[in-house]
Amino acid sequence: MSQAVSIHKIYEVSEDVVAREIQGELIIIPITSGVGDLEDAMFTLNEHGKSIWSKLDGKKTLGGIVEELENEFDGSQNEIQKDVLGFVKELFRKRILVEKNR
Amino acid sequence: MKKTDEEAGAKELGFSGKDLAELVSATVEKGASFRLKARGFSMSPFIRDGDILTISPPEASDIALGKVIACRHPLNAGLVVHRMIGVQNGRYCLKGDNVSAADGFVPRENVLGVVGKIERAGRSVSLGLGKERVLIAFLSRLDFLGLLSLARVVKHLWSKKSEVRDAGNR
Repeated sequence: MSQAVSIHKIYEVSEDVVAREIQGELIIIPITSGVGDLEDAMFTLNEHGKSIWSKLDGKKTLGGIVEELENEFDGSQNEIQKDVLGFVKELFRKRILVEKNR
Repeated sequence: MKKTDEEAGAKELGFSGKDLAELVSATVEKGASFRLKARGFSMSPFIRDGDILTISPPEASDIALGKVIACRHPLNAGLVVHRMIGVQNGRYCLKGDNVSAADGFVPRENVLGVVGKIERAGRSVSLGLGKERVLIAFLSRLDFLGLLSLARVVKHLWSKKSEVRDAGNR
């Protein structure tokens, strides 16, 4: 499987992740070596990140997500695409997101 | 995205007991263990405020007398981590080691996991999790541990009084 993140690919949340909305924050806890670590490995997302996260349903390519976000946020397509790719790359690197096999 | 251990850790977000129960439940359902910081003094001295606990998914044989169990409170759905001191009609009686009264009986489906590891100041602590847990459970039922806590408080107050008296005599 290619490791490069592409705008043409579909990504979804890894099964080895617990994600819950708590007190308005999206809490993400990766499960590493069989342990979900609230103390040392928890993430939260800002509003922009939450918007991107909510669209990672395993059905749309990143290009499709960019198109949807263009209607929700100010900014050029290039800027939004750059944000989405940067966001997904980071989560993909941390194995929080995985590429969906078609 | 922000890393939360510095910007908004679990403490700053102020997770409620119900929030924690939900996170523990979601994690053990995936067959994974959950690591979190203990809050409170109900399990002192075996689990202290600030200790890091690892809660593992429960196997049927794991829920044995004296084991420290994480469960969802049957009334408020909050996370409770106390010692199992008895079983009745398939329901588990839980009690904090430093609490006089038992929590009551919780059904099996409320049990989220078993504490398998305690970390304190970067070191693993095993006292209270090994075979001695059966004796601790027995003493807890008699509230003997509560008497020990009271004895420690009395001893502390007595030593303070002695210090004040000695300082006054100088």
